Amino acid sequence: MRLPRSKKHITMVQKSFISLIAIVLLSVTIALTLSNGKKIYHEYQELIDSQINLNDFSQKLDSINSRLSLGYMYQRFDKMDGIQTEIDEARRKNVIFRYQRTFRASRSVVDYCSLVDTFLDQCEDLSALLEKTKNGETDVSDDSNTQILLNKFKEAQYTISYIDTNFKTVFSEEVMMIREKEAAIERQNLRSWCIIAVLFLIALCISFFYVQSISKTAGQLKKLTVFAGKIKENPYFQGNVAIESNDELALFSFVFNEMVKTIQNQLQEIQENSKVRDMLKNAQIEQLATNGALQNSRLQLLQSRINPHFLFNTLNMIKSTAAMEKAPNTYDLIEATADLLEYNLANLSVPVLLGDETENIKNYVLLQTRRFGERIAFSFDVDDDTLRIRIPAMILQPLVENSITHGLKDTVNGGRINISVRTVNGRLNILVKDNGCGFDSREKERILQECRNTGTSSRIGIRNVYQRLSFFFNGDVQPVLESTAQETTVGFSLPMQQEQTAV
Amino acid sequence: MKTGRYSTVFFILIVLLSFVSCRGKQTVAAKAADDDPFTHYRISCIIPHKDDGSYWSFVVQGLQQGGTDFNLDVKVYYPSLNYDNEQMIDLIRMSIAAKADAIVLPGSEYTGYQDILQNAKDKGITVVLIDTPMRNFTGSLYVGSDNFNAGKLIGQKVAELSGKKAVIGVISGDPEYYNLEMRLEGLKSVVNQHPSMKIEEIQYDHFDYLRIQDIYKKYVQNSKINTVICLEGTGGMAIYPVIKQQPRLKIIAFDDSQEGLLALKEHYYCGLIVQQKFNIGYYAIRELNDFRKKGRFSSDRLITPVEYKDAASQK
Repeated sequence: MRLPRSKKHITMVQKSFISLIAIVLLSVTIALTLSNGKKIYHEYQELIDSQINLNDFSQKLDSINSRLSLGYMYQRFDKMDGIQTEIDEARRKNVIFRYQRTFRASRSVVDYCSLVDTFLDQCEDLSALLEKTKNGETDVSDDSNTQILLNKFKEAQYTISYIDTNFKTVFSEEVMMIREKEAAIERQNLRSWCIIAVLFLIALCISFFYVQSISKTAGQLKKLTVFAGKIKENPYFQGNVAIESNDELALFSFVFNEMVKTIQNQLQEIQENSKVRDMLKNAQIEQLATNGALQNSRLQLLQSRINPHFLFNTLNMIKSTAAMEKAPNTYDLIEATADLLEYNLANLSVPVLLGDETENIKNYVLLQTRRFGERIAFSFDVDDDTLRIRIPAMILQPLVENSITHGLKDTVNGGRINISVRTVNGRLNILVKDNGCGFDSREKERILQECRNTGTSSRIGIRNVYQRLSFFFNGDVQPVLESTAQETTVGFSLPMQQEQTAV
Repeated sequence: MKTGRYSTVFFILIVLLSFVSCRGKQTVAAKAADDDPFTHYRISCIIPHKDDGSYWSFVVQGLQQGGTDFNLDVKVYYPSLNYDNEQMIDLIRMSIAAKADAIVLPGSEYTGYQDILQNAKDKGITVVLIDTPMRNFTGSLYVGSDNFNAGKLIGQKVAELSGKKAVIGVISGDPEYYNLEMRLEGLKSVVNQHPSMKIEEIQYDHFDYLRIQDIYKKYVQNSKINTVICLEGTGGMAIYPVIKQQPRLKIIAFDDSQEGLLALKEHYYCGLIVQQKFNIGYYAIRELNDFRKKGRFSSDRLITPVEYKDAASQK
């Protein structure tokens, strides 16, 4: 998952990396500053040492010259004792001084060291000559020796005067270098303080940056928490949580918003599905209520007129009386009536076999035959294959009654009613045909309309049958209404359904 | 974006800070660390006249430029008193005692000068004479003008200017300076060729301003003298301030000092003999550099040409 491209991201990892580099650089800065300061101070110390040595050195040369002068001018040879050691020591100091100034000596320093070398050589010569003179070991005449001594002493004095002249220059240079170094130390101190001040500012900035970053992150986390709480209270809450940072948190908020949208979409889908199911269920419940109400009303009607069991027992008693009085026709009629009543009472709310339904209608037909005599002839056309099919009870009786009541109401003689139960093209056709008055297309349309509606109707029987069949066969019921001059057919085309168990 | 920009600025600041902490002024020690000064080839240049923008200042510039170009340690010494031979000898003695590798200086016939230079040579110090050679000092290099020919050139110009009828008053520096004597000889060689030309008087100024001006005034008062020749540079410089009051004489001077050039421009001077001052100093160091490498000079004389400048050439 990526954030929108318009934003440039600095992730927390990158921030941490930058901070790490900053800390390393700051550490290096501090280390270099300290190192620089230490180096400059070390150089300063060296210069001070060098100056002290130079001073000692100069004093040593003065001492040698004084002893030599005393030896030469006043014959104070005792002052010459150990002068060689002093000369050697001066040479050693000269070497040290030269070593101290290696790579940073000015021309004056080089000249100074060379002059000292020359002077010490001259001192050695003069001292050796004085020693010989003292011991009377000279190779030349006294006059010549005196002249030689004078020349050598003069040379040494010239040289020591040059040394003094150069010493001033060298010493001045030393002082100047020390001053420069002190200025450098001052500058370094100032720079160090500046660096410390800047470091302090940077540290403040880093702290501020982190405090701000953490505060911002905490604020954004709080926003996320509040938003999550709103979603918990109301999953359909519309809105996004907006995180302005350019880090992982922004990525997280982006993903979180997407997730909320996905969940809300899924919830909406579930709700819509649930609504459809509820509507379907309500329709079914309404239908069942309609059926129940109808049946209840029918039962209440029966109950209001006669107690069914009492009637049934009475009919059986009459049937027995008719048998004892040898009145077979009466016996048959009462038996048919009793059977019809029993069937109705027993199977009102359970599906029945189509074979039982046809047997029951035969009782009804018998009664109607005795009623109408030759006026209406009944016939049956029932496939044996259909006898085991289950359908709701009391389907055929309303249809036959409808034919008698409406179709043949004006027929005086020659009326015919055919009850047909057959399978055609994989469907079960239950049809009642008569040769009555029939109906025109408007009437047909009205009957069909009444079948589908739940309001009042003059043909309650057909509508009741249609609705119960529709409920039983999940709406797969096709009404059959055909009327010609010769024949009128009323019935239903149903799906083939063996051993249906519930109404 | 804002955070990113701040981060970048912050990062750059830290890097700059690191550089600042690294930055340190290059110390004398660091500069000198390239090589050890104690091993340098040390040249002591003993110049008779202090740096005052005159002839010797340009010679010194050449010496110092040579030292820079050839990485040689050139140090210039001046006597407290200009042209003071005793002080010059003292400086030579000091250079010997300081064990310089070479001494560059003008020659002089002053007593003791030759001995001290010989002493330097005996101690292995190379001696280079600039501007002025020495009569009896051999085994060294001379870098400078051919002074005899320079004197001849002056004589020829005087002859041209005067129609070979000139009575000349000469102002020279010091008879101990061989170069001035050579110039005088050159001048004389031309004058002697023309019967109507003669040198009426020769005066030595000892490189002293007031004395030069006195000599000049004396020549002006001498009705016979119609031409003044200054054989050394100081003369040309010193006459200019007084010539406006007494502009009677034809003057030819030595060296292109500021005053000499002004006098030439204003037609007080007829001409100037100009030496290659800078090159004299520069070539001396260059030759020493060659000597340091090869152990010998290509020749014992390196002559730099002179030229005559007049007002026309100034334009």
